[in-house]
Amino acid sequence: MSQISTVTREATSADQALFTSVRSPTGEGYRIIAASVNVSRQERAEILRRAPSHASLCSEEPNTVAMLAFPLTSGRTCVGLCQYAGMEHTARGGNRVHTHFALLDEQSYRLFENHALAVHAALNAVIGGRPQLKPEPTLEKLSLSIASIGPLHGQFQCGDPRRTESVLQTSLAMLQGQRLLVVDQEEGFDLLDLTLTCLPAVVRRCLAVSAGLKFSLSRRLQLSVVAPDQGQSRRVLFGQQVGWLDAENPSQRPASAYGPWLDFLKRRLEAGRVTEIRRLTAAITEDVDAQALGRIAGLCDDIDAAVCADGDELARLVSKYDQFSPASDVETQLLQQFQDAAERRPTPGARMEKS
Amino acid sequence: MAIVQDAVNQERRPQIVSVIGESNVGKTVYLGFLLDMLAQRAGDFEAVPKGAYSIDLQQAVISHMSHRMFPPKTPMEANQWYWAYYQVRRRAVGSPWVDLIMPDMAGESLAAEVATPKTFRVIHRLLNQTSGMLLLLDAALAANGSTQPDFFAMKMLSYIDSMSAVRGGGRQKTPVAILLCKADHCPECFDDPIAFVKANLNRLWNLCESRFDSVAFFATSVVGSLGYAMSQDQAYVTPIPLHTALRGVMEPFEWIIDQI
Repeated sequence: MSQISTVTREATSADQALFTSVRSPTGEGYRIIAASVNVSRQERAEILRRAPSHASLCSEEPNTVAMLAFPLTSGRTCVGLCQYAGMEHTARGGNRVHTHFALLDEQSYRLFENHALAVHAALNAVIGGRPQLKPEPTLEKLSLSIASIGPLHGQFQCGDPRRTESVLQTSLAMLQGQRLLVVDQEEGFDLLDLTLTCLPAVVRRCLAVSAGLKFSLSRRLQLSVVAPDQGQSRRVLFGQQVGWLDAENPSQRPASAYGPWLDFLKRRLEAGRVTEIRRLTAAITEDVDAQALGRIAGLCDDIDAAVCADGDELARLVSKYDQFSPASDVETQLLQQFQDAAERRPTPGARMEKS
Repeated sequence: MAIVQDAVNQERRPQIVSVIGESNVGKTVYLGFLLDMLAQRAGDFEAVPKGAYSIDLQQAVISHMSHRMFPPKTPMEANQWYWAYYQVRRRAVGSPWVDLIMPDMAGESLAAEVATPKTFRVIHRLLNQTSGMLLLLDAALAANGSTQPDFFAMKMLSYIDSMSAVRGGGRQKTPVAILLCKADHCPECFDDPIAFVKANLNRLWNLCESRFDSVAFFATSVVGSLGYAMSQDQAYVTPIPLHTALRGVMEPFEWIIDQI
């Protein structure tokens, strides 16, 4: 079994910015009301373009939480926790949307395995349910705990083949660089969590995603997970290069070069081996293509096979990797695990020389 | 977008009239009532909406106001804005049809674009191609001594001016109608808008005089009387428009049409 280890530390710090609607001596309405001193003018402009404003959350329930994450041109990643903060102050109907953004540099984001929902969970632990409406104009850095990277927003229903298929199709769209709107009956976090988990960390790092926010073209996201509506979201897609997926009724997955990788993920998801997938994808930090992912999937399968193979089968597996040349760090680690697994087998003839 | 297809089908270059102003100044309400008055042939105008989407704004405004509510706040996301595409002409014989596109932009997006140009490229492009502007200012705030409307107007016009300078310099030719909104709170606006602007929005007046060739000032009001309500579990006072009394809604539009 693959046991890719990940670096863990207890906490990291990040710049922050608050986007909401307040009245002040210099104006009113939605804007960045406070930010850390290191948040640049360009970063502020990018946040303004994508931040959710009035009536942007899918649900109107007061305790609704949504998320938004996108890379900034500065190289940092911006992850936002969106929640309501009472009535909008002009009292023209609707709740005030409040988004607390954390801006993580590449190294900090790596500590969260490039997983936006891990950052979101850490943000939620710090500021969830406590939106700030009267902050100091300049904010200190935010301390985010990274102690609890794991299943984030509930347990994925591994036994539901439709949801598994939805996760795989969403992953495929992301791997192929497509833009996708997913309509999910549930909150959307589970599906997004699993989709991100199934994507290599190197792919996750560049993704712009949201869950629980109404779809908006101007946010320019690759993946938006939204609640069902009266068809407004789908109408907006007319004439746009954005795909659409009903998570409850996914169509047949199209054939692609990523087939072996997705089939591997499917088997693991059906077996409930989500933590293993998470460890594996977190370790894939170098650029990969479909062939590389296929090789990684094959290695993982062969590690499993080596654990219980005997005699001829084990010899066949060992000879398969005699001349194997790893193309990345993760392949090197997996090959090592395969060799260790084969070494532990009792049949003397099946042992292989460590290269 | 449907509006693009509709405009192409007309085989005429549409004129964009931009309604601009700060958040909560009343852009949506003004534009909604203006379109509704045009649809009812006020001011000798004949107006034909091109596409059902063009009616959404006036329907939203009229429906809310008839239920004694202000329409909801306009989100910053551009795909949530109302866009109205109307063919308008004066009913006098021989008057040509003019294709008008009037987007209802969010005040926050405008403010962000003015503060950092090209933050919202859609606004930059719209204002760059606009044939006439209706700049809405909160006259009630200005009359109360707030400098905010004056500064916002200066920023907005300075932004417009700088776009024009890129195209070759000189004074700004685009007609700008400056609407003193919520004038029911300061009725002196109606008597002499220019005197009001000189007294309460002096920085704006000076900038207009220095840089803009075609500016006119109008007092505008749509609400006849306001009530204020709150409940025990609600921290905010909700303004209730008890009835509408339209004043000065058509005049700025007529002036803009005459200019373009």
